[in-house]
Amino acid sequence: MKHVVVTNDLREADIRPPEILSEFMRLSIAEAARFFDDPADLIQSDCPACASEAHEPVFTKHGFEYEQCLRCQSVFVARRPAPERLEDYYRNSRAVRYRAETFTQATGPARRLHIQRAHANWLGRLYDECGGAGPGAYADVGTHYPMLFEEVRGLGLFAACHTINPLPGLEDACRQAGAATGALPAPLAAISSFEQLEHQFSPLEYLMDLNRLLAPGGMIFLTTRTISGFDLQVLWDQAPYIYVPEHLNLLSVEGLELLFGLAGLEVVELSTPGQLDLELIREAAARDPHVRLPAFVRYLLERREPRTHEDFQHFLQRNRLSSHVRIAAVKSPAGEA
Amino acid sequence: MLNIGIIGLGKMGRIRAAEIARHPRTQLVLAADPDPAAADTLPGLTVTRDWRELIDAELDAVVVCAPNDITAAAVIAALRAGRHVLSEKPPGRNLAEVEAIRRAAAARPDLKLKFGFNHRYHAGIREAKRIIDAGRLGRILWLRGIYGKCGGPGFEHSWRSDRQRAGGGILLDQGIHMLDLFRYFCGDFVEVKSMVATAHWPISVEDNAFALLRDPHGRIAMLHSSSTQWKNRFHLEIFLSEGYLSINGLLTSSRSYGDESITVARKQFDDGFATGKPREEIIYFDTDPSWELELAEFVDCIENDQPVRHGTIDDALAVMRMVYAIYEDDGAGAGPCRVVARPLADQSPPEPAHTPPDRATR
Ligand SMILES: [Zn+2]
Repeated sequence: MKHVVVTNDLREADIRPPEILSEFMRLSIAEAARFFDDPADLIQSDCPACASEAHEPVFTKHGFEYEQCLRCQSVFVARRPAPERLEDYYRNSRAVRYRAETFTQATGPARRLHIQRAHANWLGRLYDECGGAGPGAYADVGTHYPMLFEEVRGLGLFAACHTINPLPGLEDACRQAGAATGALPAPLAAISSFEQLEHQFSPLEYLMDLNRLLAPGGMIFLTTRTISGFDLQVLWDQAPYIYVPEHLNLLSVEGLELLFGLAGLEVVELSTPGQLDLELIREAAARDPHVRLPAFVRYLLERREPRTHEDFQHFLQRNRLSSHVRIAAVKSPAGEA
Repeated sequence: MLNIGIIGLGKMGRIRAAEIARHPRTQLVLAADPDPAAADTLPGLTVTRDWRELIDAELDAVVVCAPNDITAAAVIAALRAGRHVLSEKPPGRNLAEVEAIRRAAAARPDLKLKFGFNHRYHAGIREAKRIIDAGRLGRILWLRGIYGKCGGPGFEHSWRSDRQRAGGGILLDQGIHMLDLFRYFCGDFVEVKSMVATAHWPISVEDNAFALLRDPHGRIAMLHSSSTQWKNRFHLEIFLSEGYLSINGLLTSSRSYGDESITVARKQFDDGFATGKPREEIIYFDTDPSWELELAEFVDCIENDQPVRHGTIDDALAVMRMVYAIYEDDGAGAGPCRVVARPLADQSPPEPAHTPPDRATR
């Protein structure tokens, strides 16, 4: 296996403008209280990465208790909304509507330049190398940014593009960017899933579902947030950007490897090319005077040069210790999902 | 199961022996090494002192990991005895020796002959080749390669530093890998300019070689090969019309060349990015599959009667012509070349070139 380090001039504010992000978070938390207020709708879960039954409470956020797996260290909401309740939320909540109408619009151009294009290049390079399903169809699951399809089509790699469960309200934009919204031509050559795994009721079932859509030799490209990352390890329960239902699963790097194996997928790359861990910690501390940081981290942020911060972030990436994780995997020959 | 004998149980011989033991369809049955202590490194293996005895044994293939003054003789003898041959680089001390190998190989087209240009099988090089062949970064514009090692204690007493035994210095010993990679990415080169020096070590061969090479399409490759690189280094940059690749470090058993990585980036002239500071991805590799893949290809060629793909006698001859073109352009001359150590303080004029430079590597 290999892993990747990325250098780029990415700023948190470009892809998540503070005012828009805080309004989105406010709506998400308020809507979560409204949609998931009935304790009878919550279902007890074991570790969503490795299925271990050994886990213990670590913190509570907005009334939801997060637990940590004693085997793989993943952190997750143990009593979580039932799949139907989550589906209802992702169809009808005001937070999701705000995301499609405001968030996506405001950050689209910057995200295309810094993120969608990089996603497409990553996908192209690895599919050139490891993809074994020929020039078949590609699908993105849970599309948030339709411009992705223009970038992927630019690769000239796939015969067709599809979107599966795009954010409600983005169907037209997906079609305009060249992605079909109708029935899938099974099986697919490649599937991408960006920032989706963290809010699935069952990550294992989710990956197995995707695996079933793939042709033999087909590939999955996935990004998510990992609890192994520096900002989450430092901020822990103080991370303002962790909330239900967006973050039911904060799987560890080790847990993700186990999960992909269980889903019949062979991991060919697992990297944490995140560039924002230190910046996220700095922002969290700047916005909330109650946030307590370890003395070393405070010293590093307040007294040292940007150059040192860059080196530190590079170290985090090099050692798979940033909270933004990306995984590329191939449908195993024996990969019965 | 292929029965294999190894000539030479130095560092390279032991690496090859371990791979032969690991491969499911090969077994090491005999070795030859003049050092009586060599037998201790591989308990249970019969080790003869004289490599000629090994040639006469019942073997399917011979792996030659001997010093350069034995390589050509051993390869030729093994071919004449009807053995397939995998030989370490360099393929000989000079062009005449490699030509002699070619004649011996031509007489036995039924046998496989492969030379150990294992760098082609390193993960970073394979990744680079895949990316370039996929075409997303456009066409190659130029290459720049640095390959150097520190020599080490006693380097001046090593057979590698003895012109009679080695044939040449660091360029022939290590720089040849970088030249082979230049050919791997670009094909043959037709023009050479060079400077070769013995800058530090009191030895009869060069310890530094600088060269510029041009291919028929006008693409230029630049080489620095050194045995005064006090921190071991491998660095190969390939710039293309739409982006670039930079391979840094080389996974080896000692890890002295650092972690192996390849940096990949696209040329980025869009608004929103600092000019000249594109987004880079640096891919790190955890393992060196080169020895295993090289042996696997050799075995596959024998068992399935396939032509050798990498490290053919033609590859070997072409890269030796590059080495000797570099020696010749510097004016040192082919054959036993006259690279002389000159203290920096010595202001006497350099010796005139005594051979007209032969710029073509043919
Ligand atoms: Zn677990």
